[in-house]
Amino acid sequence: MEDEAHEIDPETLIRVDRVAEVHRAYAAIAGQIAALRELDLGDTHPAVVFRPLRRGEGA
Amino acid sequence: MDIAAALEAPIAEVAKAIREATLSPVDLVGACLDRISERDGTLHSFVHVADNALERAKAAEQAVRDGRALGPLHGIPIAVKDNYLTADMPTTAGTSADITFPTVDGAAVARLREAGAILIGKTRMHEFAWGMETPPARNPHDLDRVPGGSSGGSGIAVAAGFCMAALGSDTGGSIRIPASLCGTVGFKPTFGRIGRSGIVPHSWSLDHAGPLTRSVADAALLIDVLSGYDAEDAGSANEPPTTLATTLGQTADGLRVGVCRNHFFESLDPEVEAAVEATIDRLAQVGAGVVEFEVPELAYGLGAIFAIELASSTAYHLPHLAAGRADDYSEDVRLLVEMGRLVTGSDYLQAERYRTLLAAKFQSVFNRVDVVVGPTMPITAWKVGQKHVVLGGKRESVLETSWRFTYPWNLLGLPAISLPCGVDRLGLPIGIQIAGAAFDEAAVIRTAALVEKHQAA
Repeated sequence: MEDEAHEIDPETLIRVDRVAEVHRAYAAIAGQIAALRELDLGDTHPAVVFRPLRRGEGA
Repeated sequence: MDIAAALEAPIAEVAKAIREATLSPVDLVGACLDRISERDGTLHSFVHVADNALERAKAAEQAVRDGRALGPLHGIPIAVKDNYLTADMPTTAGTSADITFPTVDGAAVARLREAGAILIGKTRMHEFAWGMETPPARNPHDLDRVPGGSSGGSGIAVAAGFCMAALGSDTGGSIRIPASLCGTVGFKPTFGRIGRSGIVPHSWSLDHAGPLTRSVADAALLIDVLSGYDAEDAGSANEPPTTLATTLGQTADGLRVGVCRNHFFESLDPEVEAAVEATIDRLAQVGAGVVEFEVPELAYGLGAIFAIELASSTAYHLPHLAAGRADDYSEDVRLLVEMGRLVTGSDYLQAERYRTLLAAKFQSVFNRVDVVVGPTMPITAWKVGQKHVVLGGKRESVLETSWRFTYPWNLLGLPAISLPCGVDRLGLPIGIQIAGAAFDEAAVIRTAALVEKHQAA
């Protein structure tokens, strides 16, 4: 029984006995993120941009 | 300078008195330690008090006698939030989980030491900077109320006079919220302005370092000391240190004060609203021009910061989650770390694309104004254990309420300060927030100094 309680859901890495509770708690936040999903951002690029390192940089 | 005067005076004056040997740093540090001993058993602002603070104060006093070169914070007792790694004090980031953090100084702590500060201890924080209450710490203005978070211990320590300033970190408001609730100044400068190497990460693209202080002048001085390039921080800006202390004392002539009427003035306590409106009126009376505007796209901000903060924080905690160590986190923090696994990659990137849009909107705003002012928070300090608040007839969780006005400036990475602008009928502090354009901390400090100078009688 204890082993079952500590079993990890392989997809979410959340303990199996907590997955439903986490989904319930996430519902309100999911609504806010869903609203953002509806926003048409056209060809707007993400704010976080990859930048290659020059030779020796950051060494 | 006597100790009572020193504990109220600007840091620059106290440091001058130490340099001129008219004030002993040993007496100053001793007075702070005495206060901690007397009151912190109730307030719980420190998780570690430095056992070498008096020893270092004696060394600082000897340095004055020897005529050695002294920095701008020589002999000044300063506290450090417990997510800043330190070489001579343990770091826990507020967790009791079995996680060991390195004992090294990061960039900000190193700069404090180079400036001569005496690190008096590590302040309590909400676990992993993921919350606004900092249990079991209490608000020094009302022991039944929270100090805010996540830098709650730093807010208390400054408000209670346990130190002359403290370091905090701010991912969605964690410097400005405790500053607002505890009645101190709290300044989150531009993203990248202060190096974050040696700070336990929470959300890499939202995390900011900054000070909580007793005055605007002290905040300016601390930013001057802490700012500058940090090669160990991927987000560090290659900018020279600021010289904000030289910008104090300017008039309001020509100052353009922006007021964003949507989002930042929605669903707030009428007493908070009245105090902030009166402060804006006083800025206008002393010569500032007030420009009102709206940015409708702010309506999407909550989804964006949740997507970024949850996904990023959980990415950091992933090894702990996979190893089961998150079982030992506090229930609220554990739940947030687990929820981060539910944010999809495309939602995260939509949020980052939204940031680009919002940044462009506010870049346009800052072509027309020098600063944007508004309330730091919709409410004053809430009671320990209180979960909800009713504002404008709408019931809302206090946690959602608490960061509503602060998180946009984290999404934007723009400098934002909170300072007191009044009290409510219970005597609880009310904070006003002033934000500026990227790397224009000078306009923020200029405006904050005017607000501080022209407080209501």
